[in-house]
Amino acid sequence: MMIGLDHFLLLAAALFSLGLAIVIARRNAVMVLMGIELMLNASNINLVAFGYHDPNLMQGQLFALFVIVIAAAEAAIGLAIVMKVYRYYYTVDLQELSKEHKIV
Amino acid sequence: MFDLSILIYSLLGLHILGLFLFPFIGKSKKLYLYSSTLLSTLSLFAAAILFYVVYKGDSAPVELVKWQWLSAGSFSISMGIMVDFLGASMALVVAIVACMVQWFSLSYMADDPARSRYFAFLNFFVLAMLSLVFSSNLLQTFIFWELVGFASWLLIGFWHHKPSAANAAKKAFIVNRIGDVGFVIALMVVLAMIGTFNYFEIIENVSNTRVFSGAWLLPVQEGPYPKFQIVDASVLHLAGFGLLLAVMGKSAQFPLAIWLPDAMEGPTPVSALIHAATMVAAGVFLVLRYFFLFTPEVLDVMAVIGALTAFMGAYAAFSQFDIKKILAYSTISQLGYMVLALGVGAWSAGYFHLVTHAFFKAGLFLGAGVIIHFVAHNTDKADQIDPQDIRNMGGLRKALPILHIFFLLCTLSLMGVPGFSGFLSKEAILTGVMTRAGEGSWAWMAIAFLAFLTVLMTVLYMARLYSYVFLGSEYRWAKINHSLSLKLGVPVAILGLLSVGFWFSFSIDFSHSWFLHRLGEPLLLMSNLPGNLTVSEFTSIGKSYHTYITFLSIGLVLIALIASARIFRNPRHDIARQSNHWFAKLSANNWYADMLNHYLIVLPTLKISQLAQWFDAKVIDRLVDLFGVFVVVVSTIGYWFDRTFVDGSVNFVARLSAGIGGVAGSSKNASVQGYVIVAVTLFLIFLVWIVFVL
Amino acid sequence: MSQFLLSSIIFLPLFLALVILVIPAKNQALQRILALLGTGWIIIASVIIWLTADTQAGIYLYELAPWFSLDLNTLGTLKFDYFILADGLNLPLLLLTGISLTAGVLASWKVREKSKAYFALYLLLAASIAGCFLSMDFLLFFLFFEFMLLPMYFLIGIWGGPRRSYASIKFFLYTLFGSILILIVMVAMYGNVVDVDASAAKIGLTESQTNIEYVNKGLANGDFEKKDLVFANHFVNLNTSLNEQSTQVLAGGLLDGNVENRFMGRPLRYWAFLLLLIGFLIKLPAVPFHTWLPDAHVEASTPISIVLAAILLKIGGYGLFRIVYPAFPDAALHYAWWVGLLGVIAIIYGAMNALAQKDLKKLVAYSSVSHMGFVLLGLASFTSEGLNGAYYQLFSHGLISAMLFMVAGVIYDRTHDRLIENYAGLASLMPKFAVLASIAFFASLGLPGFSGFIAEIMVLLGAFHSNSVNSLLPMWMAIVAALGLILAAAYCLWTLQRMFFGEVFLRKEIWRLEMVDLSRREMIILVPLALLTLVFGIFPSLLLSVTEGAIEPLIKQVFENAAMFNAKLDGQ
Repeated sequence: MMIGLDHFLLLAAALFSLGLAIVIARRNAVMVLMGIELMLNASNINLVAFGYHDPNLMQGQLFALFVIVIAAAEAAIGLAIVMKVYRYYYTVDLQELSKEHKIV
Repeated sequence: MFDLSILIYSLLGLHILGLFLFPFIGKSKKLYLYSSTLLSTLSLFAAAILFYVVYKGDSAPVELVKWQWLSAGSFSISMGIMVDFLGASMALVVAIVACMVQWFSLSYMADDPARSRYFAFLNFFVLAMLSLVFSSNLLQTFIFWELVGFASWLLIGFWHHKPSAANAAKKAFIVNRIGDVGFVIALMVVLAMIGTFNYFEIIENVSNTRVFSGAWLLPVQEGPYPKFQIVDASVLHLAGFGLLLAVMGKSAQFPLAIWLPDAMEGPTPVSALIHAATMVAAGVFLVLRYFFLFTPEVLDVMAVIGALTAFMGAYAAFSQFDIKKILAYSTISQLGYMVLALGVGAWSAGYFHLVTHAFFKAGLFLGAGVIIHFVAHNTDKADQIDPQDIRNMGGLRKALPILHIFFLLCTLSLMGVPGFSGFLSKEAILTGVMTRAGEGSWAWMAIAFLAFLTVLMTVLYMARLYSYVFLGSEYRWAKINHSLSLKLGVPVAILGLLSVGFWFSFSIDFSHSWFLHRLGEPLLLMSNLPGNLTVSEFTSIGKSYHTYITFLSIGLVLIALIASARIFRNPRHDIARQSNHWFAKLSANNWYADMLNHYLIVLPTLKISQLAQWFDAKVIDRLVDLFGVFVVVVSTIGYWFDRTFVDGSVNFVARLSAGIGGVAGSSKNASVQGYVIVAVTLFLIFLVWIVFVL
Repeated sequence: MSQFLLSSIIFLPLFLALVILVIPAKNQALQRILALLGTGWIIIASVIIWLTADTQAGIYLYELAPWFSLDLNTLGTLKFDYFILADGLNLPLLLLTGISLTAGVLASWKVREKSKAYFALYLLLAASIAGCFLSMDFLLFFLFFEFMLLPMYFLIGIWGGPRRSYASIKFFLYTLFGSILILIVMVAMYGNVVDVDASAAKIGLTESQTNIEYVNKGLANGDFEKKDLVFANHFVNLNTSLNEQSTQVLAGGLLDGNVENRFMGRPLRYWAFLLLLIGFLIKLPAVPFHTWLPDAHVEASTPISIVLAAILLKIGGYGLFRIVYPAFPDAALHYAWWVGLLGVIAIIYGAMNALAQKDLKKLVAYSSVSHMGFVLLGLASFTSEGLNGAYYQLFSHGLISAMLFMVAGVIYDRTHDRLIENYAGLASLMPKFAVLASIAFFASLGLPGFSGFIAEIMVLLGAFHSNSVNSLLPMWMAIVAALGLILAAAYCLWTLQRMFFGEVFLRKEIWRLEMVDLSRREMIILVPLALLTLVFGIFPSLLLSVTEGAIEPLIKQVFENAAMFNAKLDGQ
């Protein structure tokens, strides 16, 4: 069986859904961040897959590189915020933070 | 003509030198004053030599020098020096009077701290006046015409700290400016129609023009089949009337004569030089030189103005008590005579009178200067009395015997007593007037009547002046420590002697005068003038009138002398002393000309200018401000619209989102994840809508 | 050296302005000297050009470098150049710029308050004025033309009198309004003047095809399209006659007399002319667009008044000579009567207003309005003497008004009061000042021997002559304008008499201590100006020999081109 574009797209969709589910369902902020990472990586797979079918310009690959950089930056900032929040409230539970401390 | 141009250059150069020495040696007053006077004496010699050479030489005017002054495309103006008998004799007159005045001023102005400046101004004036005389170009004439006016402004206002002097200087210049506008109009016509300002070229072009029944034919193409451009002849009249206006300003003719009496605020020698002998005669000189630019209609108006001025000036001289004012009105009157002579076409007679008048009137003014000087220094009440008031004089015959003689010579010449120069020139004018009046028109008869009446009046007011100043038995001069100094006396004496008739003619008949014969006739006349009198015509046409005119005028002079001997023997009979008498009031106020000028010209002009200022501030500027206000109002409306609708719609969207957000936020799952759920759900709905519905 | 001479006139002041910004604020003496250097260089450079110029040649010196270009796709390419040039039309005004700016620096020698900003702005103003006169590219001209307003606004608004904010805003907005009218026409004119050389290079034409006829023909045939062409709006291209090869006007456009484009019954060209005319009339200023001038003058400090009157107004006249008349000759002839009428009205109305003023500076301001009327009248006459006289008036009024504002400034410096009625008999207190003030006022009223006389007499002669040469102006206009001479004498002499002569009177006795005669610095400003008016009054050929070379061809072209345009108009 040839591994075509569809397979990549399906894999990406699955990963994306997983990420989304984590973002929606998990209460731990660190977990939510990891969910976001998953969603970003899902889109990266898409981009690379598209890029593979457009070999001349390598636009997809290039874009994926950008996304990785941004994802790294986002993770760094996000984790730093989570750290700060934890230092202040001694919790990273999103439900608690929004219901009791009204910060998100 | 090498020698002539050298003479004229030196004549002008001496005065330029006199002017330019001022910044360098003006500080040391004595040196500057004497060198300036010396220079003007040298220039007198130069003028005399020039006059002699021209007198002996060819009679036609020549242009000695000509150089291009400015050019711009098709427009170019040259400057030049021309000389003829008219110019040379005028230059001699100017040089004589100027030299006399400078010698006189040496001691007359000896106490003035600013006397160096005074001499510099005198030099400037003489320079401008001589340049005016020699200029071969109408525009050049205008330039120096304005500059002599400027010199007059400088010298009238010489004592600038006196408000009356400053005022008089301003008035003189502005009134002259009115005339100058006439000159400018004439310049415009000459350039547009004749195409050149050069005297000789104008003559050449004008001599080719023709005036036919209201149309003026200008030569466009020469040759056997000349072409003409047809112009309305009124343009020609425009030029003539423009020049006439200029003459009326400069030569103080009615109704622009009002500046001359005020101009007496200047130092007395200045009045002698500028406001009696030379500058005021520049107007007459202009007519003499450019006589061919005056059409018959213009000359008729000129004659009327001259006659009116002669009469009005003489009348106004009756009730003055200021010795200089009397002489000033007399000058106006005599200038009126000259203009009248030119108006009737007695070209040479007008010039003759200009020359004789220059000498005797300058002599009278300088004599008046001596008298004023004497009165100011020889009375106990020097601070209280006005030294120019003839009521404060009297008996000077004994106090100043030598002056008396020469002053009398000048007076008799002005009165027109036979044997004096004034008689000859006056006869010439009267003959010219009568020749014109002989055509039988009542208007010309009236003009002739005014001319003869003025003869009578001249004698009367001069007799009045004489009796006030020199006669009188009361001997009030307590201490006489005044001997007529040589420097003051000699100029008066020379001018007095020049007023005697034999310089101009040995006979009492003017038609034998060498001067008139040498002067000749105008080069060119504008079309067929009826009354253009040349010397030959004086002796032929004028012969029938000549004899009885002589008798008539001598008779008038005699009658007036006898009458004045009776009237003025006792000054209390003088009608001028009855200050409520209408005759005295009208005369003393110079026909209320100053008042009329003030109320009819000056005040309305100021009113109109204030109106213009009001209009500018309240209408034009208000419109600009209103435009600004309008823009502000429009902007305010725009701002309201912007706030209400444009910004309002943005706010509406914001509020809508806030509302939706509020709805979402108010749900139980009000947490980040709740929002994500809502957002994802809505996105999915949107996706489904796009994919399946659209 | 001479290669960058022209640029140095613009950029040296600009550079010195930057230098002033970096030196310490306390070092005021250096600031002044740098400002003097910057403005003095304008004099030196223009004198060098004047002396080395070949007056027979139309153009003395020029610099041309590409600036930037704008590809408008179907509308073609707009090419803007850094094109500066000196010829007979701008060199005298450039010299005047240098003279009056230098006089202005000397007059602001005592500015202590924020002097760093003052002199930096002043040099900025100097650079933009010089740039305005020199630039030959319409956009470059407009850039400098607009840029002048900025330093001027601050110079009036910060160092001005009590109502300075009103005056500066009024000045700024009013003149900006005029600029916008010019901008509209400028935009409309772009795309009508082809840079043939650049277009030929772009299309690939041979040398024999590099001319406007070929381009126009090719455009009509469809050999190439408008988008292939390069447009550049240089004034020299407006200036050349339609009959000559070097003309670069696109056929059928606004500048080619396309009379089919009409608006309210008039060809569009006429409207363009009117917009430009009003734009420059505001700057000149002509009645009824003059009311910003008295306010700006009264509130501006002495040096700024000098610069404003001596040069800024001249740009209005210069624009008419340089842009309006060459570009729209037919409209210029068509509206000559109205322009002449505006001139006559300005002469009489300005003089009337001057006569009614109580404030010395306002009087001088209105006299400027009156004198600028002569420029309009001369321009409308289209005769040699009229146009040369109008130009002479621009130059001469620059010198004279600088003197008059300096006279007002001398009094204001001492007492901070400018009302005429508060002074009398100043001649007794300040004799040197009285002499120079008299010279200034007599020069202003047009006494022969001063430059004003040459200008006014030439304009009047030209205006009258116009009737018989080209029948544009009726005779009465010149005659009525001549009456302005009387009014000028009246307001000048009346003011002299009231302020300087008679017995000494000062409104406040304490002023007597202040009334010392002119300082050496004030003499250095006034005496050279007085001498210059005399020199240019006695030797008019000095200036006319330069301007003649530029103005005579202009007159010739105006008539030739107008005849062609009118022939087209009749043909359609």
